[in-house]
Amino acid sequence: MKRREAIQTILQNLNKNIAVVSSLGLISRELFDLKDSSQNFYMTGSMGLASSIGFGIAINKPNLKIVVIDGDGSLLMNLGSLATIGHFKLKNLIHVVLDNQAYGSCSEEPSISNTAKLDKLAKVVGYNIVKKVNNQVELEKIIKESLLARFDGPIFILVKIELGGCRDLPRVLKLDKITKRFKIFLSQFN
Amino acid sequence: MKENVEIKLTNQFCEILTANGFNFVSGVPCGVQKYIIANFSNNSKIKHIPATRESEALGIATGAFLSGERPIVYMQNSGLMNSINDINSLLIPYKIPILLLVTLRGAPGEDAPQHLINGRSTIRILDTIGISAQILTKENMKLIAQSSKTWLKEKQTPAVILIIKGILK
Repeated sequence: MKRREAIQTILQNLNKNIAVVSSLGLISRELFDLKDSSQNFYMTGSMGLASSIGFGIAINKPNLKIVVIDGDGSLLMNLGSLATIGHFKLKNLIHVVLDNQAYGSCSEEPSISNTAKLDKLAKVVGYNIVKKVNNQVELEKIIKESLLARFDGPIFILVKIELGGCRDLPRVLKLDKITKRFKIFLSQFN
Repeated sequence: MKENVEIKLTNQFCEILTANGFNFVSGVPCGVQKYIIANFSNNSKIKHIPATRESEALGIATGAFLSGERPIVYMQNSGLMNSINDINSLLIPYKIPILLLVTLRGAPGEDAPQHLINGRSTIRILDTIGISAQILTKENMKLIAQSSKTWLKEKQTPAVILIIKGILK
């Protein structure tokens, strides 16, 4: 599964009542290219903070489901966030990590996610549900289940993806507009 | 006696902050701010979520702001240095106004040498990135809270209140 296919699979299963926070680099650019929406907050700077932003929304909007699309390198940069999310056990947070075992938005320098066992870490720090998926069928199944009311978070989904993919993707440029639009989207929910 | 005065003044300052609408706080502890943090932990007007690093605290506070809350983040200036990229690449360009309560270690009277460089560069760095920084005193608590609130509203970027050890005694 390629990065684009993974993001596409997630997108196809979202409804209009879900917020998405995407990590920097090619993940955000791919999401922006596939489907720009007021539901999306593209975090293009602040390395590693996508899950923290998602957590900050989840704790203030308990009736809204939040999907964070993170990367393995990004999560390794902010592992404290994993512990915080596990500690507070918010039911409405779905933390997806696209794991290509590399800093894919740089030049695919290898990360250490092959030995870090991010899924096991998530389990140990207190995530309620932890899944590792290798293909689109498995990903679709767990995303669908995660969005059902009976599935309580925090949910951690480790998605093994291939290296490579398109690099010639548009950049998100109007950052303050993204804030404004996303804030209005969130204001509909409690 | 001095401790009682400090607790009283600190509680007054926290009261001023919540009266100005701040209702969410995250951060990483600093001994100098112990009474502020203790207040936040027992104050029904503000939701307090501790973080593991200052960057994480800024991320959580960003999520709170996007959700319509009015966030504060507390930290020491050592932590501010840790999180300059998050201020420069998230808070400022995305227009996320967060009030930062930052202990100014390395101020005159500092006894720990590892804080001296942070101490003498903190205000200059904030000035370079265009962030308002004001030093809290016993006399300016109300004024500083109000002017920070105005800055956040008008500029939509972070404002910093610097806190020096013993200032509220």
